[in-house]
Amino acid sequence: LAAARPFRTEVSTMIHATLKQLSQQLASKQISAVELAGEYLNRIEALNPALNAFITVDRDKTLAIAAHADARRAAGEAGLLTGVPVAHKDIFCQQGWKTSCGSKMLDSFISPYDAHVIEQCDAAGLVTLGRANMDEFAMGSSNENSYYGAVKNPWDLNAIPGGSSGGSAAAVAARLAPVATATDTGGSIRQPASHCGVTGLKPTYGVVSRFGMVAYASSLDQGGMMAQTAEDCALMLNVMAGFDARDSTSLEREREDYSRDLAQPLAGLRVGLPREYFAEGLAADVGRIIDNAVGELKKLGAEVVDISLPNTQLSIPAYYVIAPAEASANLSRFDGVRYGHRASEYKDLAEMYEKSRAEGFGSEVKRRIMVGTYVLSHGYYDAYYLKAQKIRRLIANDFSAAFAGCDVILGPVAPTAAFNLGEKSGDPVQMYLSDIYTLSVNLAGLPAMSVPAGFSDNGRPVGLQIIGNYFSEAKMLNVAHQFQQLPIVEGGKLNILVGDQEKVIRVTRAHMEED
Amino acid sequence: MAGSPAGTTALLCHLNKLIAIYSPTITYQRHGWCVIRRICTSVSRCRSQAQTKRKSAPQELVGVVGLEIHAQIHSNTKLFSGSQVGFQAPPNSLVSFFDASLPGTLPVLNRRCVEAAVMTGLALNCTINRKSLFDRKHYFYADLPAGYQITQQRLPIAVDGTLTYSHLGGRKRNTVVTKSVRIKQIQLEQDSGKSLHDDYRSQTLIDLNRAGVGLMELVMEPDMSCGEEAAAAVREMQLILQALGTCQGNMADYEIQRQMVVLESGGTVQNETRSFDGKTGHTIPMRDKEGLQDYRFMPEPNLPPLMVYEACSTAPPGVAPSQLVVLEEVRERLPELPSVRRQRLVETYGILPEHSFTLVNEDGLMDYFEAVVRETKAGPRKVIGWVMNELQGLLHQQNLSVSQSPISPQALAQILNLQENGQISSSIAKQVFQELWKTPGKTAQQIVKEHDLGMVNDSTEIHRICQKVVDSHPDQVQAIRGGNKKVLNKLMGLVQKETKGRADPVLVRAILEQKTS
Repeated sequence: LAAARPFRTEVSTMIHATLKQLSQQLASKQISAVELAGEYLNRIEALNPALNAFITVDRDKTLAIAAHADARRAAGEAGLLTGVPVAHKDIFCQQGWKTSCGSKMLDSFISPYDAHVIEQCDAAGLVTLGRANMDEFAMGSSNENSYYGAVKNPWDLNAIPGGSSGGSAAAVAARLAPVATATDTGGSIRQPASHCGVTGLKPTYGVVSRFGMVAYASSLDQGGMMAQTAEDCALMLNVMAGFDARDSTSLEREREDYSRDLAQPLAGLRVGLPREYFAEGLAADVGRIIDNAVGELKKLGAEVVDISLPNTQLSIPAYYVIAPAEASANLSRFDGVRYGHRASEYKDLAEMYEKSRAEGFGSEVKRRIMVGTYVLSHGYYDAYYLKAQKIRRLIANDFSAAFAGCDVILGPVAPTAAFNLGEKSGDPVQMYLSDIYTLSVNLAGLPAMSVPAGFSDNGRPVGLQIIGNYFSEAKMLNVAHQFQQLPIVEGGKLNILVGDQEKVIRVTRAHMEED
Repeated sequence: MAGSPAGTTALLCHLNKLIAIYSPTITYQRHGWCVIRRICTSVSRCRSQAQTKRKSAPQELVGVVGLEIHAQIHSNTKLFSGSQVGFQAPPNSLVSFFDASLPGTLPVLNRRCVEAAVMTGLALNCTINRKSLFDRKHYFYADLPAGYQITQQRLPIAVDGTLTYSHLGGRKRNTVVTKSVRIKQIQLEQDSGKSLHDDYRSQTLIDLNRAGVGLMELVMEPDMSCGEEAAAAVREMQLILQALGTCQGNMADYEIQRQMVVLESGGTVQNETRSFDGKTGHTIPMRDKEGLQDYRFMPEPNLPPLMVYEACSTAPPGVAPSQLVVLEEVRERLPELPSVRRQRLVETYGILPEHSFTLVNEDGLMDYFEAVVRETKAGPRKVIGWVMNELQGLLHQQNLSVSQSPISPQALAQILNLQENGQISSSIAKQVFQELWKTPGKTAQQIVKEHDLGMVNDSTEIHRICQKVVDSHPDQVQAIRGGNKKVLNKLMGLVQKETKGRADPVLVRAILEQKTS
């Protein structure tokens, strides 16, 4: 990489532009895709050493893709997002790019094929900026489990960015990318989006194809995205969603424009507040921020309904049985036989497996493989896995009962704002408990979002969770978008390093302005 | 044999013979269709009676045989990927990213394989589950790329069927004994790849061409009591699968024998998967499954429940017709099954039931038989004699399959027609058959002409020869006149020797009777 170049002022403001704005600037030829990619690459070059949001950046490759996007535009074949840069979570297989999934196991794995999500983004003309850091195999809530090192929260370099899509969230928050793909198995989009003050959406299970997405827990994994605004998420979902016959759980539905309802007024919207989400364990500052957000939505005409999701507490044990069980199966393929890490010395096949896996996997991955193997063992299946599946059904039933009386459910994403790096890494149970508000959604297969809502007492972002009924992404995006149109009532300061000079940027929910 | 007091050696000898009778294709099949991948047996032993007094007495074995047959589904592509299925392809040339279990790859069920299993289920009188599920079965092995096999452990596609089979019993082995075995279930599952161990270089090579090929695991209840029954049941299963076209090829009964031998020699049967080597006819241990393995079964999250619908009209809207598996349609495509075929042969041609078995059980023999019947004036019962004795005799002697016979059905029909027309005698017909076998290019007529084998109908000539024989054998003539009519046959033989078998035997007998009366 060349030495950091100073920003051209007129371009650096583009760094804060939304997808919609970038799209307009590209369309009006104010900037080319190559120029835009170059600016983001410069910014990555300057800031990524401090943030560690990217595992792989390849300037030449990116600029070549951008040149291709410009050529498409010149040929009159550009779509809405052609030339817009994107960061891809390192979990989506991308041909010719290292697809490590944050693991030493796949440190040498160059994918020979594209995930459906990558194909869709490429077809739309999005320009790959690089591969975003993540917790190893998407297992984690702090992004401290990456083989490539922890990602830092751009708001506070001592804070975790959240996980597992911590690289995606940090990249969008620090404006290293205008949009990033991500995945959510138990909160891995919403929780980092909340902690990094960006908008994140996890669609209904089956809306985005899992083909080419390295599997963690197949019945829970769902691809989604993070961007600055709900509107950007809608544009990105238009690109990513769609039936894919190569994923048998992909849903065959008519194509929809997820941005169609953004402008709908919220008058009469019934907003459910689950009692269990505002009970003991929720930090006071987070509770206050969510209350304020609900209050503002009320001003827009929303009507609050008290609801109950009685099995919320059970989501933690259910999730931490089902997800590790599936993970233990899904990760069996990493054996060093065909690709990936293989131990250098072994005396037989069994030792090759043992050593390769012992060396290739990090401790959290090993922990979950052990738990998963245990709960699936003969004689334990009924007591753990089967019981967890029953709880899963109860949780889904809770939601369907709740949605009989409300249109969307609102609540916190996490009990606290981002905690400090290292604060919980020695205590996995504490870490698991912080997933309390996000796990149920995955167990039920519902769509949900995190929208920036305010700042904690120590100045860290806090997101508002919007949970929708199946296939109600357009409705959720409408709520989020309307919320993001409100006048700024609360702001925070994003401290990111630009070269040697600290730059303070005042950030509110969706807007960003330099002081 | 079950419960019979036969000694072990005799029992095994008998088994060997039976297996040769029931599965001649093992030895004779040359083009090696590798169909039935594995046959797992469970043979239990028990004492027929308590032997407290004579400990040294050999233990009597009462076999209880249950079978699991892994039949490869006849399909162009694999069970969950679009890779081609082939046996001759270079190693690792038929491997998709899914087959190699690359990260992010997902299974997509092949409808053709589902239909094959449904059709097999229907042919075996199974209940077809309208909804079945896939599971993962875990074990680590280098040729199992995912670390698990996708199978149907909890809710398989077909259950509760019966297979009716028959074997020849009785002292002369000509009584058809009909039995049935319950089919517990039919499940769809993936095959694994192949490991090739090179001991010399102490390395293992993996070929994934076979990884992911669709198998049907057919689980039979332990309703069979001996190898004879098991062999007959397996053969019947093979015939059904071949008739359905859901699976091609061949199988091994070696395994049953092997386990019997192990048990007879006082060993224990290991819990292991063995692979059948079609060349040697032996099974070899495939992998060491120490003790009882915990497969940690779990639902396959990447595959929704497999739905089968009674009719197109009962399927929910929105399901693409190309993805529908409809019972009604599969049922319509069911071909004639072997049992029906045998019955038809007995009824149409008036042949014996045991002959219908031979015709149906040996590849191509029924078609051969029917082709001869169509082209000859000779009756089916005469034809069956020729097919059973002359044709099969030579085929077996020379290890040939029916399709490799040097004598076509048309050629045999010509021989029979010559005989029917009175142009050659029956003994000459057999001679022509032998000649034709050696020189397949010729016609029966050519052989008759070249070797001057045509029937001698000149009665003056026959009279002359008969007189000569009578004159030169006064003692025999005396015996006949004394009432020993059997001696006449000897004189007939002498006349035929003189005419090289070409004299009309009816005429010869009449003349000799006259001359010795």
